[in-house]
Amino acid sequence: MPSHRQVALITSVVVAAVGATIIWFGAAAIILNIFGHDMQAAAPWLALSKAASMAWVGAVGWLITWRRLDEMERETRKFSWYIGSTTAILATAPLMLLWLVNKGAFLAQLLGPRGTPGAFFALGWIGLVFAQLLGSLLARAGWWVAKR
Amino acid sequence: MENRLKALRAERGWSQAELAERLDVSRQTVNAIETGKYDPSLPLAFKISRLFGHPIEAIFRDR
Repeated sequence: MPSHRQVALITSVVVAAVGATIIWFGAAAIILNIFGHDMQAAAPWLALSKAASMAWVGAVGWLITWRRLDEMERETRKFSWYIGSTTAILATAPLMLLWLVNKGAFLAQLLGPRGTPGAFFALGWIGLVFAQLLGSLLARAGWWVAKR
Repeated sequence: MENRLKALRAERGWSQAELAERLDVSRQTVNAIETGKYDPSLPLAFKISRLFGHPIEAIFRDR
């Protein structure tokens, strides 16, 4: 039988998932109702609704769940974000600069006609966030191996 | 830091999960404290002290 702490964590996950689904599909239904099926006009608003649903998941994941973690789990998160994420930022910095050699020719070639300034920005942001998540997960795994 | 948590828990016949439930922490945290791999915060140390009815210094000892 799960403990009340496990139930609280599972509840947070369910609240995050259900909330994100409601925001995403609810907003999409409203947007499509307003714009009819003019997808070109609706596209930016649909993208915004996706971002809002992800923001909800982030808010629930990082704020609500945080209050339900015990002190060691909080320490784990702090350690993994501080060490893993910072290391990832430092480690990816030269890589990002390398990509800009020859005025970003590598990126332009990689993205082809989709290589707009917005796409470059998004790629850089996603790359950095991905690296931070990866670094954090590795640091967290190291922590658990050491403390288990 | 050394501690007598495992012995005190054994005296009462509690599992790590039961102790974790009473302290409102995860079982992993109890295990890490027992094996000396994690030092609890002062509030948690007081909670442990109250639960077992011993002063903190009778449960935890500096190496």
